[in-house]
Amino acid sequence: MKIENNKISNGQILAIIVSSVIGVGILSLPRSLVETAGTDGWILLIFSGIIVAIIVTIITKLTVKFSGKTLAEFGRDLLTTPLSDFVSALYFIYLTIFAAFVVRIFAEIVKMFLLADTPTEIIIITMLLVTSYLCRGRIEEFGKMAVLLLPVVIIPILLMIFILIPDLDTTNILPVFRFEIKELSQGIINSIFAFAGYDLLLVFMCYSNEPKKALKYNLGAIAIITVAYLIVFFMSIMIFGQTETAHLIWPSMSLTEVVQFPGAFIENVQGIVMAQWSLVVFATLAALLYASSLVLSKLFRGNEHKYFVLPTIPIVYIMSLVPDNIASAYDYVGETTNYLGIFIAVVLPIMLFVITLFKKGSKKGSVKNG
Amino acid sequence: MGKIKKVIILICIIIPIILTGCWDKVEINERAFVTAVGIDILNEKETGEEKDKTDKKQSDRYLITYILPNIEAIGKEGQGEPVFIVSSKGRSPYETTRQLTTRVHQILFFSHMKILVIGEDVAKNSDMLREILDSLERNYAISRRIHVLVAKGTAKEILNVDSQYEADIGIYLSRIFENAGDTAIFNPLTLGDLLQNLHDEKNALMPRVAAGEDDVKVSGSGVIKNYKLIGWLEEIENRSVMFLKDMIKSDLIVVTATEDNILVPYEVTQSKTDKNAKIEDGRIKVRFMIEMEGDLRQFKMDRPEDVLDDKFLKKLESVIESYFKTQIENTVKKLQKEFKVDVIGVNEYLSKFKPDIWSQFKDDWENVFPDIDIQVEVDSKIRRIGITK
Repeated sequence: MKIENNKISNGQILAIIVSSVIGVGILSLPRSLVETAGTDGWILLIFSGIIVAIIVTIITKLTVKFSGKTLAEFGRDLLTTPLSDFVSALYFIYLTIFAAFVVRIFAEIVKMFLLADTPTEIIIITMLLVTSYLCRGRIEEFGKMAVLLLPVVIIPILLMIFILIPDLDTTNILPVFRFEIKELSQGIINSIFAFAGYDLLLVFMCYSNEPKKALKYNLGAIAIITVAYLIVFFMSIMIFGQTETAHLIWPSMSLTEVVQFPGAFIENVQGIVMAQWSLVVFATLAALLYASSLVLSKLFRGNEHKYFVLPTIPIVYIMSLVPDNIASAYDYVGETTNYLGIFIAVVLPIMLFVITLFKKGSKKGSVKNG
Repeated sequence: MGKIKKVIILICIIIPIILTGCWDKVEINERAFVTAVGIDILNEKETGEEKDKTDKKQSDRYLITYILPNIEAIGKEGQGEPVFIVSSKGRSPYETTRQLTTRVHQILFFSHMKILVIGEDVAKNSDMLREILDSLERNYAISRRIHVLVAKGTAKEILNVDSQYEADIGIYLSRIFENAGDTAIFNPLTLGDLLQNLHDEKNALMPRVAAGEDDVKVSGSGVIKNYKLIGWLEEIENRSVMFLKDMIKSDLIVVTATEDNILVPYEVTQSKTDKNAKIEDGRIKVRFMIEMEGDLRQFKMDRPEDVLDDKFLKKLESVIESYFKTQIENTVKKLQKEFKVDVIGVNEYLSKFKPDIWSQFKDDWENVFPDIDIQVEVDSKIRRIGITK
């Protein structure tokens, strides 16, 4: 299949979305699910997966209507220019905060597990510079990179099942269906943000070569993510039990401590897992950085996003060093997602979609009048 | 000219990148891989110093012993002691370890640690036990697969045993755990299991280790209640608990049969325990149904009984059943009346399978457990009798 210039296939968009959503969130996900819903966390996950799928459908419909345009451009048609530029600026801030959070948590974990004496700043700056190299390239290369990284994200999660099977205690997921509807509804808002990153469709869909066929790929991406999350949740709760999962900061990372290969030839696999996970974070960070520099360039009506990558780096770098420790980093990002995140990822797509319905009506009317 | 300049600049950039090594490198010969650690309370008489009594919290409390294999002694032409045994004292477990850097010429690494032995006195102190377990859980380098044992006596005694089988006591003990499938007289618990038990219910059974002349014996277990050692379970009692928790791989039960008390070893090859619970007259009634099958391993030559006789085997089975049932019931009674602690998994069963019953009693389980009605049923089958009649 020949793909025209500056376009990527829907499969590549799927890879971008999967590898950008699965990043640092997956490490703490089992803990936050158990804290809100106990052993029924998986129900919460499925519910929020369905809600995210609905929002993704809305986003896809929206972007199909304005194919070839990003949020920053079609927003101007729908919201008037000043308001739309304000929203785009908010989106840029949201993306940079998220990128800063991702790179900070990455640095903290790398420092804890691997490089004890390397300063956090060095880990952050090297990661950001490597990422910026990819982001300065064209979207075709970016798409191919995401496809290459997709197996790195997915295969270890599947492999984990086979390695951990002998240690699993399947009764740990009992009792089931012991939640209250009220608790569930509160938990869903939190667990939707485990999927944060699907909003990048607002930006990346403009590169799709066949936007009309994109819906099934986008829903496929959400399905892959939900299944990956379910696997990690079930593994954690079957290995550690409910109380212990809630007690560990990164249960998914602690799973690697349990892994034991027969013959004790390889004893501690943390090093291998960290190497793999660095690539996962690289993919996440690259997508966030690419999207934020693209939004910034559209905001300034630029044609080339690549001149906006390097100016974004210091912003992300400084923001990543604002929190004093990982506890405050989680607090900051919690507050951001509660206000800004809910606006960008949930309210904005629905609002824009509703406006298109009205605009469509008025356009038809004007045609008739003319 | 311009080209040469560019090349020179490029070389100047590349050289520092290639020649600087890793920030965090530690060569393997600079590392000391700890295989076993033993933790004791520091006996104040031994230090011989006058302690400031007003500042008790700040004085040294821990005496920690480390086993470091001597890497130079490994191999054919190795020289010197095969292991180093180092002790250090301090106020907290982590501090004690850090202080060791002033005395050991290598950097201590805990990622290959196999065994942690906790002294009896430390285990009886709930504050210290909680400090130790937290420092283990918080440290990423310490694997969740290490085995945690409680020593009868001090941990230092255990680690100082000069075993005839294996010079490194850490490796020696971990091998014992690897072969744990043949017996149920101790609980092959890992740090991960222990932490899970303690987080869930504050109680656990830790395997017990005792020092001998030139070997160690792992048998029985220490009963931990509210992060505190409150007593011991002997070998037989520990086996009963293992049967109740359905953790049996294989074990040997020796019963006396016939009128003149012949000892008959019965090897359990398979065992399954089902549980059942209901409320009767406001009291929880739990039934354990143990189904096991196994082989007859020994009888006695020249006896009138015919072992290849189904009636005789049925009789033998009923002897095993009643003998074993009494053993288990005695253990349950000891746990309910003497220790008042639920380490046989009733709470786990109720919370998973009977959440309605559990929600009524979970807040006061410590007081409810001693009075619940526990019934044990044993069904044993002799499947094989060897190759003689």
